Amino acid sequence: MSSRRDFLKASGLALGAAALPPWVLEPEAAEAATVDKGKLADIALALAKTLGASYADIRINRYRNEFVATREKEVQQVARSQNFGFGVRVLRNGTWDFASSHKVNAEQVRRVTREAVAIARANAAYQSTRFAMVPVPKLTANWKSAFKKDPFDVAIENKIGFLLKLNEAALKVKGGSFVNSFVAFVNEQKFFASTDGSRIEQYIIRSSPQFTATAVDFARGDFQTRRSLRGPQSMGYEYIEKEPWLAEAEQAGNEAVEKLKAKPVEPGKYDLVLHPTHLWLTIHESAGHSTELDRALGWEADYAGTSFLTPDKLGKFQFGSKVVNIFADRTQPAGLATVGYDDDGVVAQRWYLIKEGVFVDWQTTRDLAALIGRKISYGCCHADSWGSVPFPRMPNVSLEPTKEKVSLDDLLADVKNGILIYGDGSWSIDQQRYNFQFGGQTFWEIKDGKKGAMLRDVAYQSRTPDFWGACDAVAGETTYELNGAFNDGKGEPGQANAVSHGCPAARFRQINVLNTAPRRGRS
Amino acid sequence: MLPSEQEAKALCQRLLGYTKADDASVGVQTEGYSHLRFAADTFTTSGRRDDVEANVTCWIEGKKGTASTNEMDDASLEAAVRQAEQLARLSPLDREYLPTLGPQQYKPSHGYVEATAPATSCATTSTWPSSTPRASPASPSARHSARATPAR
Repeated sequence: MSSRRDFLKASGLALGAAALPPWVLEPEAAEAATVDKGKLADIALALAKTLGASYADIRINRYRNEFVATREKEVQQVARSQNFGFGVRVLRNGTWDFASSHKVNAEQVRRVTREAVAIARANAAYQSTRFAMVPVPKLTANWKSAFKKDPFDVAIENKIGFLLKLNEAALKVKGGSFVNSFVAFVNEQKFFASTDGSRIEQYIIRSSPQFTATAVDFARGDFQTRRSLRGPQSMGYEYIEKEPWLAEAEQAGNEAVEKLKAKPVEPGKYDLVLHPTHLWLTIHESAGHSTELDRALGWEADYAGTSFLTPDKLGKFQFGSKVVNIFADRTQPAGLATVGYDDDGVVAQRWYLIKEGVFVDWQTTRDLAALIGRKISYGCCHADSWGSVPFPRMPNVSLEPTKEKVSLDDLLADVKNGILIYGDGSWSIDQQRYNFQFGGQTFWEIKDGKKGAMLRDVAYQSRTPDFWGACDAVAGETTYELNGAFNDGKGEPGQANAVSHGCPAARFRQINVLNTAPRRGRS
Repeated sequence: MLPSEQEAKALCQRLLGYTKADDASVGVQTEGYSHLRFAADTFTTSGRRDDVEANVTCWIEGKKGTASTNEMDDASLEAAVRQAEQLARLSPLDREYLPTLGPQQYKPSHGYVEATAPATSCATTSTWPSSTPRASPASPSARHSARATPAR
């Protein structure tokens, strides 16, 4: 194995700026590739076994991040970072432990493995639940997320140019005041090896463009914002190039101005038609988190919370109406939580969580599955870094469209007095994922089956089973969209998880709507 | 092992030595972090992480770029500096730029507690002396950071 210095000399990196390629840290990816991961894995896994571990795995991962932020005609930030290291996880005497380091070499692998086993040994004395893992087949795989153009190969000038054009489009609107925009790109290069004999390499790309247009009414002392509706995707730079972002930026500018003059909503019961750009967040908070088994078992009680879906409700509880089918899917194209394999070495899968309204399954990892007597894991184990403990994280959780041809207009047609909501806004939900409130980006009256004037200051409140029980129609495949977020938080120490939620437009009957404006702003 | 204050300062000086920018700010943060999480009457997760980060922000003709890395060999540090400079050249004028401060005299922070720094989860669960103040026994963490700007 050549040293880093030898490699850099050979590649010309040490010659100075003139010899540097556009992505100057890129050679480090190649250098990271020269680390003999298989050999380091052999060292860690054999040592862990010798020291009494019943199971061990090692992850040797490299992460790259890029962030470009602008405001109006100014670039506010251009930043790139990279991070490389490894983590060893051991299960000894039914007790987990984990240790990690940024120094990736054989000596550190031995030290870190010994440390993980030593901590597991110490913790075992106080461990009341002995963990085990459901079996998985031995896998050798190399998986790449679906993308056409690697954003880390695209010149930074192009990204700045894209954002400044977005800003220009949003600001050319009469009455437009400000605009902020950014693009963020993530690249994960992951190596996993376990004592099951698996060796898995994955290369994952995620892209997130976002902007917010702001309109200010200086005379009234009021302002309104309209954020971009499309969410981040596990796609390459083609996501930036193929979507009509400039048209949406102009629309956002117009809608921010229109919101200033929009009619404040009259509180009361309304039929709601929720667009996929809005509904994804409600799915995430109410269905995604409530079906996490570790929450139901109380493991997140101190931080992320528990779940009203207690284990006794499995297979019996009516979560929603018959038209509600919610599935988990780590294979979904462009899904932020889409992978080839999870951090337990389990192949990505699709399964139902809610079937015809009934709560039918959990999100599981190998140890959680064993704990409840299952034979397989659904593959929900994830760590956000080589230095983070793998633990249960949410897969893409999505609402299934109807197989019939139902459009957004079809949903509106059967509403006498309702509200159509686009985009996610402020939200609040209790720690059991039961009582909630959601806002949005734009709100439109529905009168006698037609989309009408814009409303403002809208939020709806409900309880999870009441809300999903009030869902009387979901639209078809043509309305289906995938949205999501980079930064779903959970765990202590906290970890971020990127996750998507797909859904068609859907209709909910007689939901409680309130006006969120300060009292002085109401008509 | 966490570096000493002098070692962290030396790392900052190495970073500053690589830059040809008009102005720069560099930071080095090292971390030894361990945690033990308890829920439902049992340990759920436990672990330890050693990490380091060097970050560089530089300004060239009033334009700013930032980069960071966790690889501390000379070539990686220089590459991070070159990247920050490259990003600065590509960036429009930073209208909010204010020159970095010259060398400052900082009072000691006393944020490093020798009794906590060597603690591991092993110590936490089996050998923690009862007389030791339990400032944060379940998640001992020791962090060192240093920042520097060019001397003018």
